[in-house]
Amino acid sequence: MRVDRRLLFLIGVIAVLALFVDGFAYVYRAATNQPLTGKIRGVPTLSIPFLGFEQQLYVHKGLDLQGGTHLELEITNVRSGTPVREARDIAVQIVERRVNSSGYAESVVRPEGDDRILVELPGVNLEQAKQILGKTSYLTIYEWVPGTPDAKTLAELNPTDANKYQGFKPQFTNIDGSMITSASRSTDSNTNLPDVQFSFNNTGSDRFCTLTRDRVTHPQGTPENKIAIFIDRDLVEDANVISEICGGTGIITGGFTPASAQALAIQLNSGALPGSINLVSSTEVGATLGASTVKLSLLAGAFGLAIVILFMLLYYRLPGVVASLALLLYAAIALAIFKIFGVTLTLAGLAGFILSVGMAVDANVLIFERVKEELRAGRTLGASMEAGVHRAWPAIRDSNISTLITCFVLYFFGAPLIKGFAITLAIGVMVSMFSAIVTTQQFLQILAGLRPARRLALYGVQAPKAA
Amino acid sequence: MDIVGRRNWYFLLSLAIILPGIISMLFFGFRLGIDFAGGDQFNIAFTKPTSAAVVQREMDTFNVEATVQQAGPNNVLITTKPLGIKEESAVRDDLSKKFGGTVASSAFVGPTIARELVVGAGALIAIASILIVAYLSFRFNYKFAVCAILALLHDVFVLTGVYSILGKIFNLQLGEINTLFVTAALTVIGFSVHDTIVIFDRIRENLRQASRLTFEQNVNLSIIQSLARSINTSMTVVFVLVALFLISPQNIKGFTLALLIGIVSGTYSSIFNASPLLVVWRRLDPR
Repeated sequence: MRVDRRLLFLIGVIAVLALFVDGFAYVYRAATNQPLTGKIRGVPTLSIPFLGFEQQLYVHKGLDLQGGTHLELEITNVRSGTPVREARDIAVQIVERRVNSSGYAESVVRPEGDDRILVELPGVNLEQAKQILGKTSYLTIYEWVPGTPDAKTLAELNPTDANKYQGFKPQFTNIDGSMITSASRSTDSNTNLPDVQFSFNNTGSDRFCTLTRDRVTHPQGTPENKIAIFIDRDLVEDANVISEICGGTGIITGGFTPASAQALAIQLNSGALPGSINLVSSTEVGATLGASTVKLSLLAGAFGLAIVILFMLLYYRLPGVVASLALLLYAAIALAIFKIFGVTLTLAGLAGFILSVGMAVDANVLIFERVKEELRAGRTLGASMEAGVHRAWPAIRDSNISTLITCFVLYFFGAPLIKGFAITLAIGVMVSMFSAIVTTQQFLQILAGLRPARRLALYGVQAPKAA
Repeated sequence: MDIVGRRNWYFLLSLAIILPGIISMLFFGFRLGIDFAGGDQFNIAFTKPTSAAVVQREMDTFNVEATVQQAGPNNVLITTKPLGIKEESAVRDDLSKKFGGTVASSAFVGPTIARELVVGAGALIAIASILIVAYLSFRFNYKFAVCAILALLHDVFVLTGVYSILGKIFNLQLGEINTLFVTAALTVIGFSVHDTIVIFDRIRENLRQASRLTFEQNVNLSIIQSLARSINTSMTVVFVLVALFLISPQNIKGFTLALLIGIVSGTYSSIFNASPLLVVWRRLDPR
């Protein structure tokens, strides 16, 4: 087989593309005086609009490498009548809102399983994380009706609050936080004082309209004129109703500081959660430890690559040069793929990648051993190389496919840590198959065509005596 | 070289390594990391050298079943039962006040998660094995597939056995079973099958060519022919892993060691167990 110009061209294009993806962002960032790593504003983003694909090119470091906190939350005590998954989705939104309002850029909040939420907060320690997530509470709205609180009410609400007015008891209005779609702090345009605006969904809107219309018929200032807002067991707002509130929005005014208005808005938002959130696991890595892990991994990677290249050069001579080139190209392509698809690199992910380097080397070793055998059998260089690649292929294919099967199982059933490992290993294995079968083979064919490269000693083989 | 002929010696050597491990697993079990046992773990970095014993005395005042280990001259690793939010802050504040320690990393695993992870890890190994058997049965035949899986189980038992001994008998933190260890075990499975397939491929190829060799001679020839490749590949991986092991921080040393043991075992089992097992099976069932 001769050198295939089209394949060679393809290799060239891929190499240039990979190096561009690997290097360009750094050049751009250096030229514009921006940080060299991490997500930044204004950097060109690779986007393919019709696929909905958009990706800024940089190495996405996992929390164990850049420092940060990973939390796994569980939804428990879900109010009866609410499906667990629904409660989970509401909780995801609430947590997301909280995290975003705290201004942490690259945070991730996503559902996991039926009743779990994963939260990743880069650059945040556990204490801060717990503050951000805070206490999530349940909001209920009551009205005051004549009577004395019964045992059930006293168990559900703070007794002091429930007995606030002599001769009146709080009665649940069937309006709760799950009907509030959003709440925010705002400012009263007349008085310039902070207040809290909120909006209801349709059910909440109708019920709140009826409730306020009903309350407004009672004399101003009497308990029956008020609506009582409870968060968990405590009364947080006991407001006079001046006019009916229909149309799905409402304003709570009265003695707020900007901070307390903000706090109530957050509570109203989180009050929509029909259950409670429990922390079931957390992992926290300090930035210093993360940075030193990165340094160690890079060192180990460079050292490992150097050993492998040295070994290939010493043992396989000229083909070793080919393998080393193919290996470097392989590393460049894999890195580019990680960047393009925003694969998050973790410690386990790096381990997967290093393992795939081993497998990439293996493909080359398999080919070269076969080439040597063919050369010893007295075939010509070109024929030996072609036969070498051809005969090594089934072994490369079957062994790599079995590795891909393992990756597949790990990715779909494994814990997040294991997923990271599986994905880098899978990408590495796929690129290594391309590297071995296309790159190494084409490079070998080029060698076979070069006159000075025809001495068998360069391949670590003695010329057959019979030849 | 007659590897297949001396197969019983090689099987014996495998047993000599696996049996103590199995005994240790049965009687002592594993030293479970907090991912599987549940609990709180802190890696505390101090500004000056601080001994684990001193921190241990301090931690004992909290009554949280703390064990403190040295993780470097200025670092200790504290493992406790699962702590509540208040207890946890109390511990952090105290260590920072008394010793100037900051949390380099921490992990908390609640009891529910821990149980799920144990079941999950076992299931992963089982599912991966079944799929690999299916693929190999398709490419080779079921005898090859079963032998490859036996070699795989060999490697899993060597690895888990050695870790049971390291963790429970020598009481080393290195021998801790955690999620990283499971990752390592899965990697080893992948590598072990990979290695075995390369030799099986050679056997498959040699069997196709009409020759006067017996099945046994054929297998032996195939092993010899792929020996250089088996050893070279493993050597390069072992080089990289040794480098990783030497420079890796305490928290991932156990991971690299597990990979190292597994890769060496995987190479051994594919040369000395998987292919000779094919010969044994052929003798028992010569079809």
